[in-house]
Amino acid sequence: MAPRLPLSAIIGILDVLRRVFDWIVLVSNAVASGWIFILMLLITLDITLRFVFNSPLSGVTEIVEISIVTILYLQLAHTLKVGRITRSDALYGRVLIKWPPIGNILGILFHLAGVGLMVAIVIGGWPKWLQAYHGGHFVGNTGVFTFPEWPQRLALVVGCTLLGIQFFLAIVDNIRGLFGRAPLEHEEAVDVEVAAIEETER
Amino acid sequence: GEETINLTAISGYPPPATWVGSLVDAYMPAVDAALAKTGNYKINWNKGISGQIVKPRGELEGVETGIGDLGVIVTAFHADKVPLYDVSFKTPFTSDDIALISRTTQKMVDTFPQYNQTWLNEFNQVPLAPTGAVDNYMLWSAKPISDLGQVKGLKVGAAGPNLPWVLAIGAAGVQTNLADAYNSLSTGIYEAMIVWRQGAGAFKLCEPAPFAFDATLGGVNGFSLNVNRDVWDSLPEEVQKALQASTSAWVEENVKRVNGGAKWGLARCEKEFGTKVTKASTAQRNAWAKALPPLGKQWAEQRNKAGQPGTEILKAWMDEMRANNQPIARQWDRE
Amino acid sequence: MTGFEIGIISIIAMLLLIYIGMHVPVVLALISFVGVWIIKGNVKIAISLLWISAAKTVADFLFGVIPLFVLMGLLVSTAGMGRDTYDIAQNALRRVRGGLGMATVIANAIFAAITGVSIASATVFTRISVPEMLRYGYKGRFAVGTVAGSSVLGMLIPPSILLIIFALIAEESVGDLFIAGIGPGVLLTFCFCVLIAIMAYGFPGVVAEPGALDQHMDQKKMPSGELFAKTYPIVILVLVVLGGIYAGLYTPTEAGAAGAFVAFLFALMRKQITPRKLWDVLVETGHITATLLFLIIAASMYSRMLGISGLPTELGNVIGEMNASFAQLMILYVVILIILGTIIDSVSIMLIAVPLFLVVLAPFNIDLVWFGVVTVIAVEIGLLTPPLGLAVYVIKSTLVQKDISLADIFIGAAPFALVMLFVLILVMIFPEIPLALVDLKRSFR
Ligand code: NA
Ligand code: NA
Repeated sequence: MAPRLPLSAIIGILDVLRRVFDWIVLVSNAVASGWIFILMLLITLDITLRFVFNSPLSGVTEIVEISIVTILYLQLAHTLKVGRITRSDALYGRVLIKWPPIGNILGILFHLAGVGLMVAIVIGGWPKWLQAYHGGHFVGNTGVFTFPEWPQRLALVVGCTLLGIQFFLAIVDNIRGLFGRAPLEHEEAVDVEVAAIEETER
Repeated sequence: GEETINLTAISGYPPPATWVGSLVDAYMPAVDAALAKTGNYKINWNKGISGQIVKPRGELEGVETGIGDLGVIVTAFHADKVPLYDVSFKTPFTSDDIALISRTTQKMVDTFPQYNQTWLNEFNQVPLAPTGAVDNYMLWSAKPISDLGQVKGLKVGAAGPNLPWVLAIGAAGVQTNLADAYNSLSTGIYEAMIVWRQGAGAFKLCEPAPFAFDATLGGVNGFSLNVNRDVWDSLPEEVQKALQASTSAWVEENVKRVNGGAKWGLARCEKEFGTKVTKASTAQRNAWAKALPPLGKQWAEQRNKAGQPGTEILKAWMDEMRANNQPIARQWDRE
Repeated sequence: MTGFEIGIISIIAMLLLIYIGMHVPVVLALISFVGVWIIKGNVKIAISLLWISAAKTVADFLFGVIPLFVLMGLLVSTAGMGRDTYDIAQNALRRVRGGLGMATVIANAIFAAITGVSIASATVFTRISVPEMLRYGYKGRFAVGTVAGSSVLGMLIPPSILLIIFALIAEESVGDLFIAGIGPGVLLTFCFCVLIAIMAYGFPGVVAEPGALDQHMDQKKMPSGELFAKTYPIVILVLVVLGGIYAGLYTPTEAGAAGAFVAFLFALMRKQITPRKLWDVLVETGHITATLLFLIIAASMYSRMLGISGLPTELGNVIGEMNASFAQLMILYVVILIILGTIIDSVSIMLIAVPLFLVVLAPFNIDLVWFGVVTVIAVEIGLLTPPLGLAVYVIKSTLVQKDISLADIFIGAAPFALVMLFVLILVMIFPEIPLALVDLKRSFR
């Protein structure tokens, strides 16, 4: 029989994993945010070159198309983490305060739906990125500008995986909540909402 | 008794697009009529067109994944996935007979099994028939063009696959699409554009660009009507036959609409915006064709490298064009 | 199950899930997933629907406008220019009751000449106008409602993404449609101001705390030096964006980048931006972009699911068999657009409904430019109506004041949606409103 790891060691490992995950989410958010600025500069440069020197950059159209998808999927997990994915939290926030068990069970169901959908998208997207990679698929036009298609397909898979994990962490928090423990994540929007409700009801 | 089969047809484009209009107005009734003869089956069509189910360019993957049961794939957009259909783009100045272009593409599909294999094995769909997209591209401009030299340094808008045609004669090519064209031409983002007559008329591009220079650049094949492979395998043989046989109605109607649209587009431009078409002289046309890189040869070599019969397809294509006495300005397969 | 049944059941499920607090994009995706699974009896196709929407919906140059216009909006507000636009309008209206609300409307109308998407207007003015109105004692509900309502001007006054998309579907000239948007845009601006006046004088309790409304009336007229200093950057930005489009330097899509760049330069010039601040702006742009695109993708999943259910085809058949008069058909059309507007996004509505009705209306020889403007106004009402009101969601996600709920914004926006309906009816009865300028332009030929 293998020696059993003490519980504290398991929690320690999970904690490290979680910190690594937080760091990945932060970095991918930073990359995407910086990318938006570069995109702005690139298009401005294209306009300038076309107007002043009569020689447009080729491929800007394609780069923009690729960038939109990539930026989106690199941002999503962090956007959820800071509580910015659209939701109507008035009722949910109130239930969380007044009947925490019901609120947390609702939360588990909501976030479980998020995990499930992300799993579905990753299942659908995995073969498609491989297909694009092995098939040598590209965007753009031969003889003008081409760029491989697989990076944006992979970004979708990676982004949805991160978002799925982020939803999963929200479930963990709801479970902690069921046992009266404080959340590890900060769902900012709900937090503020909750604070506001506490304020008015005091 | 009669069995009802639900089929969802998909396209990102609305009915004014010739290949969608002819699908709804000619193909579906033809299939219905064929099946009505025996009365064994009836199709309940769901017209998932106009981007209801897939956006433009999304048709290939829509049929592949089964979101749509059948659909019109714009092969012109998928040079990376089905490059064999691209041969017409790589052989400009060859033919402006869109019926012939459609027929010849069908002939290529029938002769070279690689066409079907790609669809079946890589994209999980069964191709029923291809058809043409454009009868004849022209150069539409704000100022009259009567000489190739005038194109040098001119900002010319063109869709990606057409871009090499104008770059070769010294234009500053701007990659564009029909959505931006009117605005871009009106404001001078570009001063001319490569477009066909129906497009020029429908989008009133001849308002900002009333002069057309016609060097018989020629037309292209653009579409393939495909059925999802799993759906195809599940259909009764009689229905398969009806779907296959009715494609001629689709192709004929599409060709008719493209040609009618060209006539209509030019008439509208002439009447409303005083469009003048300048026909290029044979010498001018030959000079333009000669200025292009060996597009056909380059394409064939690339296909050969990928293990496909590029050289053979190019030759078969040009042979067919020669056999039909087309106005060929450059023998793309003999370079 | 028929398409109609699936449509109705899915709407009920959507309302319920959104109301109890599930993330809105998750609700839409979940319903679409389950819906397709049931219709097709095949989970693989349901998975494919999710993937294809996720991969393909926004992979288009057109969607580049979202991050770029959002970035421009945030840089404009960082540089203090949005606030300046607002100050000018506000100062001019300082003696008018409800002047701050009207200033929001007018500043929005001016900003509309720069942006092609209402979401950008909503973002910018949520940051600029809402805090200002709250500072003067206006009610939160009124403040966000005004921003939501006036943001629709962004896609009526050219440039406009919706008019471009209509032009594509109907094969009409984008130029004519743009010009046709001006008349109704100005009329709507005017009607919004009248609405605010009526509310401020007739129902002041709805607008602000007692006594707050007249606070800014003793404000001094802005000195001309200050007026100039605040005006010229905006004029330059409008010139860069609109002038750039019309002078032929770039497409409306590229204008977003150029405008953002100029706003960035102004922010630098005014020493309003530090590397840290720029970073915050970029991260904020990223969050707003991700929120919106995620919503748009999820809404697209839903409308694709409806397409697979056959609802649009059934609708087309029913209308085709009705044998209705022109007026009846137009009313039916607008009603359908408004109903669809409650649950799906503007672009999808147009893609579903416009081709359908173009066929039905073909015998009546209608002016497609007028038809386009009617369509866009009707579709834009949907930006303000629950459960899926994109403008409202944008405001909610941009809002710093988290105590203003989604419901507050919807309620605040309701009077504005009604005024839009009023203007829509006017435009339907008097086609000259959009067409007068178009005819003028056509007469110069
Ligand atoms: Na606008
Ligand atoms: Na709505």
